[in-house]
Amino acid sequence: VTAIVHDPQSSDCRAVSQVLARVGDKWSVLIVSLLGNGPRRFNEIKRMVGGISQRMLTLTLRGLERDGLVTRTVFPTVPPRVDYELTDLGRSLWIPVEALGKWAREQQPQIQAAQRRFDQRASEADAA
Amino acid sequence: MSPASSAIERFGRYQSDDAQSEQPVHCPVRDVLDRIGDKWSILMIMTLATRPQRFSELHRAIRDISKRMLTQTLRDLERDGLIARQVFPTKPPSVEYRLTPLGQSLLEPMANLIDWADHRYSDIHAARACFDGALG
Repeated sequence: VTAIVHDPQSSDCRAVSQVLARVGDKWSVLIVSLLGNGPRRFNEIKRMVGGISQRMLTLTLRGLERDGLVTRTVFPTVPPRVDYELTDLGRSLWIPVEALGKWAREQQPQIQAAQRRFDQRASEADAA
Repeated sequence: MSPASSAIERFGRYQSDDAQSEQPVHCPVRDVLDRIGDKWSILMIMTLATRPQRFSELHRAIRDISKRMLTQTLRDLERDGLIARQVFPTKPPSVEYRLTPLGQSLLEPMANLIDWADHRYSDIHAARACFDGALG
């Protein structure tokens, strides 16, 4: 952690930055969190995440698969069924993601209050 | 109830499980995730964790962020109450950014995520090489 703060050019930092590009991505975080409930089909994920385009979901799942966080299993039914499931690595990520979700839930009223104050100040500044 | 099942139960509160609904459920927690699930916001909060910093210091610490994106990220974090902006009446005025107590409270869960990224990076790197090799 401190390596990033103190030496942004270090190889550790670049490595962690690349991972952060994945875990610091809203859609990836949401998908990892919901796959904590067990395997899901593409359309189920799309419905549960909400507000994600088909293309973005495809790209995000492919990125998660490439990173070894989810597996993609095709069942030879007609039409084919495709399930996505967390790997062991993905399940290990689910733990800190869940902790962030807990923080978000607990602090969300405070954050909304801060947003209202900020918007109020901004509109007063505009009016002045 | 195990910690995992308790967590899953709580996740259920902000996941739309309504098979009939194609509309995402409006969920304030999503708003929060928009911020903390953002690479620049995470890096900014980590940088401010050590001490308050000026705009130019932040830009030096996070070199690959554009000025425009830095300005926008700082504004979003301020709006969310995670950082505070203080203007000193010098000439020219200097502006310092610091974490608020709310921002401080995010450090622990965020550090766990960073630690994960740090510890498991080699696994991810190996998975990427394997995935790209299988395609190649």
